[in-house]
Amino acid sequence: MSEQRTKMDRRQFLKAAAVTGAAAVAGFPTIVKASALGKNGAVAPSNRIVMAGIGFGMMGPGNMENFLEKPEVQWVAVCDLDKEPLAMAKGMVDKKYGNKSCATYHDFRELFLRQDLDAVSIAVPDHWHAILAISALRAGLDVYGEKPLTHNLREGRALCDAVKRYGRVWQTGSWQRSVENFHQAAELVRNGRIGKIKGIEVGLPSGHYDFAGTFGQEALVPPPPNLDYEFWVGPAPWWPYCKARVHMNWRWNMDFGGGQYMDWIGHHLDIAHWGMGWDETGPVEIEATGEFPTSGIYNSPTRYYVKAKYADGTPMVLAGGHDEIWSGTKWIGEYGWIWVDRGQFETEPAGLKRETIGPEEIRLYKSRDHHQNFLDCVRSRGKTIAPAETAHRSASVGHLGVIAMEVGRKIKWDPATEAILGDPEAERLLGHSYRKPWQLPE
Amino acid sequence: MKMTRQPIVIAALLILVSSLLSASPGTPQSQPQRQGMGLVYDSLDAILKDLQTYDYSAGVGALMRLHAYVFIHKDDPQSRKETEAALLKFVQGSPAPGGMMAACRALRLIGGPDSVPVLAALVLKPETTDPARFALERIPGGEAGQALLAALDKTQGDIRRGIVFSLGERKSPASVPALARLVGGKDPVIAADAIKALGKTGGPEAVRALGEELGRSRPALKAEAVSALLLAAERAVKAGDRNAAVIVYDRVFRTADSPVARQAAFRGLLTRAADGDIRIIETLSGKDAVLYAPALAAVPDYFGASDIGRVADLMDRLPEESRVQLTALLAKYPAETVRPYLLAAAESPSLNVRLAALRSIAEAGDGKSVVFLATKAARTTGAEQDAAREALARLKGLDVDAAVLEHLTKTADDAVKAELVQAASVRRVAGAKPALMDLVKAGSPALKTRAAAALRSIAGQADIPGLLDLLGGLDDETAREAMEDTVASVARTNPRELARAGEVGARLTAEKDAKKRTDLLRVLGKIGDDSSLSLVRAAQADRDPAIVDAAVRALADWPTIAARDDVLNVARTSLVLNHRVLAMRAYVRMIGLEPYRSPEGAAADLLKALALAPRLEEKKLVLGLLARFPCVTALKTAESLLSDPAVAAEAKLAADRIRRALK
Repeated sequence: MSEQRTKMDRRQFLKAAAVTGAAAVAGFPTIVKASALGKNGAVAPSNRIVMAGIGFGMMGPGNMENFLEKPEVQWVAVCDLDKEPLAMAKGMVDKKYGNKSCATYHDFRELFLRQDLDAVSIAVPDHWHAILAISALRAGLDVYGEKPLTHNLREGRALCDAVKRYGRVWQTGSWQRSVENFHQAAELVRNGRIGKIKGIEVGLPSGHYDFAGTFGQEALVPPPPNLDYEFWVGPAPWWPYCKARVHMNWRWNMDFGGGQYMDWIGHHLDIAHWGMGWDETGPVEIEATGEFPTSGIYNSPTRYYVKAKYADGTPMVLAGGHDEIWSGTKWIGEYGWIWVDRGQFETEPAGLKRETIGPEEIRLYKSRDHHQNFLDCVRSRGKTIAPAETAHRSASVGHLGVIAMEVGRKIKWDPATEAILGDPEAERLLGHSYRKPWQLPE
Repeated sequence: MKMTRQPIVIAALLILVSSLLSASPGTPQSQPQRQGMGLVYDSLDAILKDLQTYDYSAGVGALMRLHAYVFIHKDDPQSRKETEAALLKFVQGSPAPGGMMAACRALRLIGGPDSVPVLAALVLKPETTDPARFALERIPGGEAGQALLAALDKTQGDIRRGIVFSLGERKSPASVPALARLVGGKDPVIAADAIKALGKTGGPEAVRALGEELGRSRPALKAEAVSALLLAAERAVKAGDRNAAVIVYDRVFRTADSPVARQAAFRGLLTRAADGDIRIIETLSGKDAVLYAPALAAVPDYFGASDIGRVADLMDRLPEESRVQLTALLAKYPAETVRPYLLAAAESPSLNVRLAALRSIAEAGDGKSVVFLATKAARTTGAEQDAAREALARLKGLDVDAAVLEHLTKTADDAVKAELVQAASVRRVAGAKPALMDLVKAGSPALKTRAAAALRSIAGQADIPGLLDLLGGLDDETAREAMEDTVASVARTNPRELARAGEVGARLTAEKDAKKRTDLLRVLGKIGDDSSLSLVRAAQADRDPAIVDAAVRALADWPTIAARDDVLNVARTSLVLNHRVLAMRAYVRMIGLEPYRSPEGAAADLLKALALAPRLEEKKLVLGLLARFPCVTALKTAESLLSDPAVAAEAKLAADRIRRALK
């Protein structure tokens, strides 16, 4: 059997894909590889962690560069639906190793048939996150995946369940957790240095940002030959190609991303949760308003204001485009406040930020290298600093906010059962429908 | 583009709902266009007219108008019903695909039983099947599920696949018999889809149908069935029926070909198992290496502090990767219980095991781990040394600080002592201050430097005189520099900015010894208390070149812009090249300290700097900063250097950036 799998060529793969439908096409790997064994197998254990990457349009190259710097990583393959970034990614790997050995893949399902992989780094548009990730987990791979964890709440739960089911290691690209000032701020909050928290403010960016320099290129034209656009749209509802819709700017269409709100929720809201010890829970109430474009090609909110309440009564505001809410994360307590953002860390009283955590106090998980932390956990099989459940809980506040904007009223949420309470209309928005032949593998 | 968009203010829409509804009771289709607060509310007729031929080329306008319309009208029962009726009429009128999708999305949110017959008809047609089933997937009640089930028998190929997907999404037990029939059918594609849908649905009937597939000889479908059974078993666990789940897990465990699936099933079997501890020990004592990882992962669920030794005793028989995993999970246990195992692992031939051990000691260790870790840090390099130091920093408990202090004075090994000095600093062990001061006085040169640096995190304002005394007694240049930094760092913690240099300034005024005066001047520069600037300026006129040198360096270090004119003056007038270079670099740095000043003003200052730049390096420095102040002067300055081959590349980069910013 293993021989058959090892020798499966592209034609056989496509035939198998036709039978089993879509994601996780070939089911489970059927030979004993190092990662599937937790590296315990009869095969000689290698000290290298064999990796591949999917998606090189935005975060993918940076993530790969970080991994390539690690001596224990052997990068063997890259996968992208666009031949240009694919070639660029292969070039980076080949340059690193001084050879031409990096394999290229168009279809992630074909990549997952490789028997030598231990882990995969995924940086694709949000609407693909869950399908790719769950397929990777099912193939026995550990995953470094970008935030937000998934495109909707149902996907998030399915992904977390799959991580547990297959016993895999997951690191989310919420790298702020691995940066000193965020760690320090969250640790001070957790240790009660500003007393009981009376409120939290999370400031996120507003508007739409032209990452790709393609704003205005909205004419519907045939997709370029280097991009498999049909595959790129994949499970999302169909939108015809235009240049401003794809690379780097897909985020402004809610069928592919979630705007600034969902892009940043996995950073500053994630830090807010960390400080509060809410990594495995969520709000109990949420209400939201948003401002949406009425022309152009994008439909994600440009300005928004979200109010959440947690089980202990703590209120939180998340906002984009509201100057009174500072960018970053601000905890307001009985005795002062702590505010942290990229490159910024201020407290009231000011001396608070120089305090250290005492020998008997709570120490939060510490990492100063997000990618190294993932690799360390691949070896130890331990939890990373940003595991799937944590990322799901951060993203869940975003998803609930989007639903609250859609229904226009306060939503009640049970974070334990992950159910919307008493609002069947809002419940309809917990998941998306998928275009054939794609479906959530679960 | 962003500027041209008119935002829909949903909050405003909410406010307007009541007035809109009262203005048009009962007939949303005939509602006229309204304007208010910059928003346009079309009648539904007008919106649907645009959507009839919608081909995406006109952007999202029509879609967002429908979105807003539904948002406004969905909460009033009558209005919602009329909107639904209008949408149903619309979807039966063969709209363009984009319009059909938009309308079905709306029905997905507000559709009820009335929508089902219409959507049921549309789901049968290739061009409308997807939008129709997307809506049917979400409409509550049995009617929508029944409609999808009924459509199964009337469709083939891709349309049928989509219906199977949607049945899987609805997870209704009523779908199970029909899906089970498809699993047993001849079409392997539909069978695979039905298997997935059954897994999502779960329940005894679904499990039975999936179990039958395991007995058939269709490998690709068997893999799908295994995956679906794992899912169904999880559903049973969540529903509280662990016994049913165990039967499924056991079957998958026995029949699955894939190690990943067997591991998953084994993990399921271990969940809340009465004999979990026995199974784990048996597994780790056995030869089935595939199961070591899930068995070890479950250890914390079954073994407490009193019996973790039963697992840890198996350490030596496990392969390296499992030893890493086991060593890592020992971090969850009290130090007394796991210390021998962790200490042994920390001496393992495998670096990965050693690193895991040090990380576990960081979490599980106590005061008794201090000497071990300090020695480890002193005797190793690279990742292992980092891990040992990190563990020393993170160990919990007051006894750890006491142990650091005790051994800091006791140990005779300078390398170990140096690690303890660092630990005392990182942990801010206040009681270590006297010992550190003693080391500054009487330690080896390396220890003096390290102790001087360590005091930075422990000393307070009241210690400044003592620290200055220590500084005066230091001969070693590196140690002196470390102590200067420490004094300045402690002084800067004074919240009164203009009182920070008080003690240092007073000593400088009274000090006659030239060497000590140079030290104090350098400290003043590092503190940057603007009230002490006059002392530094005065020192520039000293007859002793060493004092002048120290004064220039103090000015060059000055952290605020108060010394900007002083450094510019040095750059203009000093006869010493080193001083001109230091001053020029400081001047450019100080211009950068004011990012919000007028670009023209900053650019003019940079122009001055350029004219005085003593070397090529400083010219490049100026060009690097120029683009941060985009203005005509900056642009002209950059362009003027384009013809200078020595800096043309930097000039071009700056000019390009400035041009972009000025656009």
